Amino acid sequence: MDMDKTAIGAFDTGEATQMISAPTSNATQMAINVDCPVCRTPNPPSETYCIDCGFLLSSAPETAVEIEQIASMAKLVTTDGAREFPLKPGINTVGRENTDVLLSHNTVSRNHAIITIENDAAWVEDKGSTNGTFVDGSKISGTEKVEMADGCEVMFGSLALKYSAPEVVEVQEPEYDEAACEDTDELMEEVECAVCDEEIDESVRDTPALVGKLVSIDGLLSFDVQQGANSIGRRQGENDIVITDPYCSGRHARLDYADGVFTITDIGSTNGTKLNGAKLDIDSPHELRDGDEIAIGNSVFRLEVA
Amino acid sequence: MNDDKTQMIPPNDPNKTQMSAGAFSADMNRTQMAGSMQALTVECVPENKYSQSTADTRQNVLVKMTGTGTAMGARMPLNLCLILDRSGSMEGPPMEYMKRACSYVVDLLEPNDILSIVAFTDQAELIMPARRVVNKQLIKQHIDMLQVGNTTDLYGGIQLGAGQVASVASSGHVNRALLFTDGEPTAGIKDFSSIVGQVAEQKSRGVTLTALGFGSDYNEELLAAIAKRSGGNYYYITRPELIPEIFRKELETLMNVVARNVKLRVNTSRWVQVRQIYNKLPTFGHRSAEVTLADIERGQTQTAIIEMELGNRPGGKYRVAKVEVIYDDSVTAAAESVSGDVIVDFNTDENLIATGVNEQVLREIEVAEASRNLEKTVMGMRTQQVSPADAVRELEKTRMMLIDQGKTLQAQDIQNAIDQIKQGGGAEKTLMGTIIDLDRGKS
Repeated sequence: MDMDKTAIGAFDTGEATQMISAPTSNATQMAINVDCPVCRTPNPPSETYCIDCGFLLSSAPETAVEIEQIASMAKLVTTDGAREFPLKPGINTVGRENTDVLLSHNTVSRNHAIITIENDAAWVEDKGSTNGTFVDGSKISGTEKVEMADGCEVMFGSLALKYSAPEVVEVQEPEYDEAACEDTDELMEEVECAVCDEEIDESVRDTPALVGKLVSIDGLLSFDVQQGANSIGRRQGENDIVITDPYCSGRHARLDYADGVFTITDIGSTNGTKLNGAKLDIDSPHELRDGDEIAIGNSVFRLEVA
Repeated sequence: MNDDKTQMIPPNDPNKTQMSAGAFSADMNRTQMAGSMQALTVECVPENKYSQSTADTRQNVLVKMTGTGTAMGARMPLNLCLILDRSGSMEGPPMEYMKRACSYVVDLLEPNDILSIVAFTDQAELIMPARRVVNKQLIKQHIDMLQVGNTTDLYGGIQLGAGQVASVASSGHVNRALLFTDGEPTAGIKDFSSIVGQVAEQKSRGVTLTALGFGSDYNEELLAAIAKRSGGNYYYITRPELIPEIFRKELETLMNVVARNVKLRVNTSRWVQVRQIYNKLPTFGHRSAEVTLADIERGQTQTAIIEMELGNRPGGKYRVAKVEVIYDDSVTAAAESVSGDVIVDFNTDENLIATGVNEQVLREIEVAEASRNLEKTVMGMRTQQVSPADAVRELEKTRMMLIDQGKTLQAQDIQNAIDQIKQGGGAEKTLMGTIIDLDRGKS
């Protein structure tokens, strides 16, 4: 509604046009949007609270608060992906009442099962539930403790969930600290150098099948996009494009190029992927065009087709 | 009979409903300000207005919905079906009082109300198809001709009766079927889940069922499930002479409904998950959880308690969720919505956080948990794992707590249940009603 009004005003008087075009140069269309200081989501000016994280836009966040990485937690996920139940290290009770994993489902008993997370392994045992606990279709008997593999199906009564193992915790402390720093300009360059120093294959950079570039909005970072699949994520060594943003998941998204078409797919990230401001559903590919804006966690990139 | 035909009701115009749905989306922005014009008001109170920003925490949020409504007297016409049990066990005074109650209902209705009547025994039969209440004498004659039969085809009764309501259902009416029964289903489809499934299907067609159980032989679990699934009311009628009074009470309730097809939708912000909505089974979507609520009457308050998981984040004030209540306004027949924000201030000062606790929310949680305790007591009595003396002790505790919280009606129900147990009877049928009331946060 408000947008219409300004547009009309712009047509009527020359003064209004000047006033509107005054601010930043590169964001002609976005001028009226307010970026959330916490999650960087662009918000229409009419919003009081950020449409994504809910932060009160007229205020400033307290600084020096580190965001704990939740992407790497073990969890149970509903089959439609709509709900996630984080599993903490140690014992997690599962059931219908006052449990860590609270499942409001009438085939789940009050105290149904226990999941134990130890180091990198996860175990599930049934606590005498009425309708049983199943791992990949086979029922857990008596006091049996069954180990759960990443991606296995755990069924409590008739409620099926998928177990998602924690992402392997590497020694990520330095990366963490860097990312928590606020001043990004120098940092980003440093990080990129660090990446080069490590095992990024030089030959990959020179591959003739270069089809485009992913360039950060501030122009400081640029990643090559190759023919075929380009994995995007925070974890080094596992991704073609490594983004050191704490909001970026270990394995975040995939950028594909095939038959002259670019597509982006969120592969189950914690904090989501956005295409031109619209959040993508997990595992659903979206076609990209030259100049499209892709937000991975808090980092925004533009696709430049070669 | 001839003049009856002129009262036929045209089927509902599908375009009309679509229009009101459109009006709803256009009105979204208006809803927050126009409190006085709305049939409902909504208030969201977090258990603590502060939360620790450096840790993942849990918080309960109390949502209070109150029916405000417009001037008394202006009520939405009813589209009502009486679904009546005429099985063999209704012989004698129950049948006579039931007929009297039905005639009474006819007297209370007005010419723009719609009534249909279905009776069931070995099978269900249509006594009177849906029509406007013009010739009251004629309708009463139909009622008077009812006679007792043999078995109980509850499923068939629901299907036929709710079908009558659905056939003329419109957003301009309170669409409701009153199911009156005194026994277990003994004919037709008898299993619990099929019957409740049928009720759910009728609800999706906009028909709500109120379950009225009479005597000591009906299945209170089934009737409570019907009322719960449908969002209708549940009554336990102990004696035949009370039948007309309970019918009158239910009719009065229907005439005071200000919001129908009430849905509560929680839209959570980033780093927030809904863990549960107490005593309800929500459907979860991407960053949302939704539950269907019972109709809300003028002056009545319903509550819902939402437990959320709040992720750690940079300190500051956040809207952790937006709560939207979507309903059909019973006076204007338009789809409306009201919404409220759940605001939490995240910081690291434990002393400050300790000052932010809201006692009212804690009390409401206690009441919600009382409902679970009652359910356990009922289950324990049924399986005889809880002795009558233990049950009375448990109930007494719950009763005292409810009195403290000002839930006098429910406390009285529990007193009745205690008396019933002390007289050597079962209190399950009474307590089932209390559980439904508490689950709805009725007050």
